[in-house]
Amino acid sequence: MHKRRVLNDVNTTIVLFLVPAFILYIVLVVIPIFKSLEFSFFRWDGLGALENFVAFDNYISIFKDRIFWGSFSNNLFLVFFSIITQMPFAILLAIALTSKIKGKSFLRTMYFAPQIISTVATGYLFYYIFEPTFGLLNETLKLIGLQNFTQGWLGEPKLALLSVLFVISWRFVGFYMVLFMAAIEGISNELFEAARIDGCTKFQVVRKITLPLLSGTLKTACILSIVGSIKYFDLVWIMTAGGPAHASELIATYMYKKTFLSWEMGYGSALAFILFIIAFSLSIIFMRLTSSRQDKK
Amino acid sequence: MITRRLRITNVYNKIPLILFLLFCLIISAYPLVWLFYSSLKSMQELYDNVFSLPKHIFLNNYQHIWSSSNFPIYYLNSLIVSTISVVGIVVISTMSGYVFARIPFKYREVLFYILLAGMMIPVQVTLIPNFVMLRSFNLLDTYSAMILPYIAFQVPVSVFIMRGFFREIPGELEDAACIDGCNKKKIFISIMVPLSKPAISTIIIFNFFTVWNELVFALTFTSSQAMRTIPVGIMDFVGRFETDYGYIFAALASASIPLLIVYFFAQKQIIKGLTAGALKG
Repeated sequence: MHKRRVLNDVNTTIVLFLVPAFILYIVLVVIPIFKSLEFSFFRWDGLGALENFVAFDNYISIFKDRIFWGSFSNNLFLVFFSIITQMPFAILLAIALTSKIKGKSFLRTMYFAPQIISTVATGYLFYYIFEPTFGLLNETLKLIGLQNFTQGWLGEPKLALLSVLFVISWRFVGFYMVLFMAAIEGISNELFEAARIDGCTKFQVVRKITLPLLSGTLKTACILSIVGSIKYFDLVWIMTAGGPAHASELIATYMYKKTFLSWEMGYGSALAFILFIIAFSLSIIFMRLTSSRQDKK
Repeated sequence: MITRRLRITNVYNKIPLILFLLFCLIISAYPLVWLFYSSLKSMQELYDNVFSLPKHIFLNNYQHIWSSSNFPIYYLNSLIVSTISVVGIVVISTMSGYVFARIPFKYREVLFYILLAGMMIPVQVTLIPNFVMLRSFNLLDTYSAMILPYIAFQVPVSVFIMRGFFREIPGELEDAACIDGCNKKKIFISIMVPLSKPAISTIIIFNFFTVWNELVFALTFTSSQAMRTIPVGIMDFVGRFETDYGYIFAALASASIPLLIVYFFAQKQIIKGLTAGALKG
């Protein structure tokens, strides 16, 4: 009798405690993925009945769509250069802020601060910093005698994505810095002591001890950055909306335009599904890599 | 003498490092400082010199956006949506995290990994179907249209963090409670929840920032000024006042400064919360 009551208690707890999470998850996350796949086989304006079945036409059009390939290569550009610009700065700052210098907790606070304000506020802040006629950047260039370099930063096809990349880095360097700082602080002090006793210079310590031991965190940080860059939307949408002439278009912004500005919901669904496949498979690789690292520990 | 010379060379060696740190400090902090003091300048002053500090504090920009624009509504909406979402996320993921950590049952691991997969799904793939579904339930342009997807998308990572924490709690505590005829739900409420305050504060911080700043769902699922949250509201606002820089800077500053103030006071927890959440996600 008693045992049954315990079992009852256990079972009701399992069900009661899991049901809310799974209902929301299934209704708002899982089913929509399959719905997206379904929609992607139709030509649909989102309003009428879903009846114009076109099989793989949307996917075929996408593979012939130069704007899609442009967006895709912009995403790759973002993936590659995010890592190239953010990681060295983040590691350098992390090494500096874990050494013995004054004011390091103040510096850490300030370097991380860009992460705090919203992407929308960040986007507009830099929209006005990059503004051609009186923006802070051009004014600074004039002030230090580099008038010739003043630009309409976000209006130039060649510079738009680069300018956005700068802002993304501005926002995230402090974040990755904190990850690397945590990793460095996790390295045993005895290692550094031993190196010092053996007469290593600071530079040698960094090269032979710190950097090799950061490789795991670096891998994690790179993959975070890759997955983030593939589905990136916010700052580009605010600062350039993919323009000028799709020069800074990303898959996510292109999908948004196709879906909610020109109401090609089938085409938009196919774009979304492609984005999902790319992001999901990258994330699985990410999980594999990090979990195998944890197993070793 | 020798030590003195050493110290001097040390200082010289440090100069490049100090310059580098200062350079990064200017790059990361100056835009924020500039935004703040520019919001206190009149249009004329802004045009005259973008660098100069305000000659006298000019509060008209703030007065305008707080008394005769929709900005207070955006703020209120953001507060309501973020608060309800975070409460929902915390309650739901604490319960699920507890079950996944402490109560063994068949298919537990499978269910957990199915939920965990949610962390890898980009919001875009669910955007159109959710839009269609919310529309068919007449839920577009309501708070629920944001709150429900926020909870659904933030639960997986939060469950992951909570489960990790609950697994660390020693089993003896549970056993000791059970001697007095304690059941699972009671253990959860009276032992597990009080013990898990650090993890709960981590997921509160992480989710609050994520939801407060969220753009895509809020942009897609709301349309009226009465429902806009701050991120989308700012977009509407900038669209309307494109060249009234003073107003825009005051709006951007109003959206950012409260968060920065909270950050300066609770930076340890916030940095921990934000990195923990993102690392797991």
